[in-house]
Amino acid sequence: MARGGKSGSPWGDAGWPLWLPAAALAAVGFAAPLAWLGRLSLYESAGSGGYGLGNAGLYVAGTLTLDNYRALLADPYVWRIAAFTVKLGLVSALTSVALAYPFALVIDRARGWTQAALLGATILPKFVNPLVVIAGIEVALAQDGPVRSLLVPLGLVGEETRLAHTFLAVVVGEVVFVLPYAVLILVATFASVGRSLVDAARGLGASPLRAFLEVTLPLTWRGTRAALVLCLVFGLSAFTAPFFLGGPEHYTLSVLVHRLVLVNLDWAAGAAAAVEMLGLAVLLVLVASRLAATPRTGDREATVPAPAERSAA
Amino acid sequence: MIRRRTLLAAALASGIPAAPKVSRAARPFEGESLVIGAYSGPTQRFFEQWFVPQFERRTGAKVAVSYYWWEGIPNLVASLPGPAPYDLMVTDPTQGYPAILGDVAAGRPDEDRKAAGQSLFAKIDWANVPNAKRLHPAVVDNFVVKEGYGVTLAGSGMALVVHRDVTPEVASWGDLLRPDLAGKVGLYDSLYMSLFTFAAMKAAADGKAGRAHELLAADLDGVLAFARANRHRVAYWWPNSAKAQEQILMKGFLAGNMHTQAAANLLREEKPVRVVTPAEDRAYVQYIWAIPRTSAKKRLAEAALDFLLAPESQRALATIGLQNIGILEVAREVAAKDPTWAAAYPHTDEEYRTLRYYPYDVYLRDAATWARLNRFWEREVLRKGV
Repeated sequence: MARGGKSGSPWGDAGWPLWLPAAALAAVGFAAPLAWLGRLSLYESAGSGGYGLGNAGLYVAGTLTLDNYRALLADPYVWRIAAFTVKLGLVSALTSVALAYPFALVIDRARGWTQAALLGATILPKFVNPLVVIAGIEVALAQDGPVRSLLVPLGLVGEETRLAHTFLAVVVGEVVFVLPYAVLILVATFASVGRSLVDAARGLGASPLRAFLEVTLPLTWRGTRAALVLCLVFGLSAFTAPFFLGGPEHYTLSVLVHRLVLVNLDWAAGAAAAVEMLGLAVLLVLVASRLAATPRTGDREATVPAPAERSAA
Repeated sequence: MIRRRTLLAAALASGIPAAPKVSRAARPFEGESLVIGAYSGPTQRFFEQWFVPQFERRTGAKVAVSYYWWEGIPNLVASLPGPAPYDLMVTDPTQGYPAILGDVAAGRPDEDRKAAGQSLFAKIDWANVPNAKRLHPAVVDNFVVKEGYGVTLAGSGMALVVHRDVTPEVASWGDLLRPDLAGKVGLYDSLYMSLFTFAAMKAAADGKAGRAHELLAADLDGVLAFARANRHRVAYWWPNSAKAQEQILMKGFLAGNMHTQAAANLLREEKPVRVVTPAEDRAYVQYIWAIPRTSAKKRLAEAALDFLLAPESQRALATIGLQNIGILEVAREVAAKDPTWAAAYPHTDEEYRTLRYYPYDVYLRDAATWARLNRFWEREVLRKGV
């Protein structure tokens, strides 16, 4: 069905009373702040004196310049932080989806209270204050915490090896925050696919692995891609996990923006960094979507061989 | 846009209990309101339990306290040229010196301050703050007080805190350079304190313990290079006292610097740490209490500042807020009753006489130095250099 319905309007058949609140919310809550952020990034920086005012204010009013962008783009320090941000985004997104996929499959296959309990367990962490979650992860990964207590005797972690405030800790934190979203998207995807096609494939002689590879996986690819992109978006804007579970080596662009705006009080440079971060996120999401779409396009149908083909084989 | 002041006024109007009966003559600010900007943390208890009820009872004014950390001065700057969000506020030299000297130190003044020819803070009429004379001379020996922009008080000092499991015992800043502590040290991620810690470590290593202030003043670049060369010893850069306390207890680090107040709290709770702050190279945070020049309540703010400096308030600041104070006689009295407080803060003639702040004058020598320091700290010390 063509978008826009009979009216041909981009809003479809929905009248203005329906779309106006959403449009107003988007304008006030997103477009206007974004426009202000863009304008702020074009003010002359008042300096980056470090804590406090450093120099004469938050930005130099009445100016219009691209200097903040030039300075950021020419700064290897910022590039290193950007590279780390991308690395964290990719690692946490791939890890989250890799963990979420089988878990969502288990939830889909479960029935009754078991399914409800598994879904509840997925959602429950989102009801907890993120700082409490952070504290829990810190305790778990502490030098005398339960994870090391388990891994050190097994020889999987050295006596002196630190788990807390490392890249691993940051990834663990980010995955804990993002995983529920990936699981929920994939559970919905599995539910929409249903079991009948898999059962049909099995009935036609496909092994469980082949049924999975040739039926389940292709049919859930779009959902998997959506989960991956969502996790990537979260990962690229990660702040809480790198800030609390990492150290200075684990600053992301979000942490850099925080430091520029709230610690250095250099609002113009902070705004430019925020715009650059937004641009980077959009670019990477587009690339990721493109790459993820390449192997299996659109709503490609499962490739379970027809009975005739099987007979021929 | 609803201003902070409006919100605070609304909050005041909704829930302030009636003041005890005091004659109108003794309540010179009856019906007026005051907004104080104070640091979050333990001072909240002091303001809530002591300052606000006492000051309201004595003056008739209504007081609201707005707590912040780094955002106090930004809020003030963002309010210009309108009314200040606070009538009396606390800041520290890293934000306060530029706020006072912006047009001198920055080299590029913001137009408001240039036009007004003033700092962000009003000059205090000392006749309205007689209790300032009670402060020990070492506490107020700086340009902020001399030029009348505010009152300085010493805050937390730099403590050397060690987990009890560490053997042999750590006794000096130089011990943080011991091979067995490499990769097990914890330091504050703010340079004003930890660069001084590195200076104290270097001074000790050079056989010049106690000369960290002088070392920084004479060889700032040398200390910076030393910090960069020894950054690998740091396992954890703590962002605030709560994290420092948490991490040393979880052995995220085994020895390092900490605010004396946080260290004292660990001792109070009998946690498995030792506080072994050496007598050499002690330094304290400098708090600046100032009145924004855009406040319309200067006279009331001065009264509040005076009450803050009164002996009874300083006593409450020590006993309720567990803070450092500026009056030697009161400090002696508090120390006699509370050995843990005494271990954290100066309370003898000698300790007051030799009291020194962190070397803010070196850090904030000029805007270029401050900018360079921050850049180096952020890029070469906190992170491996690029």
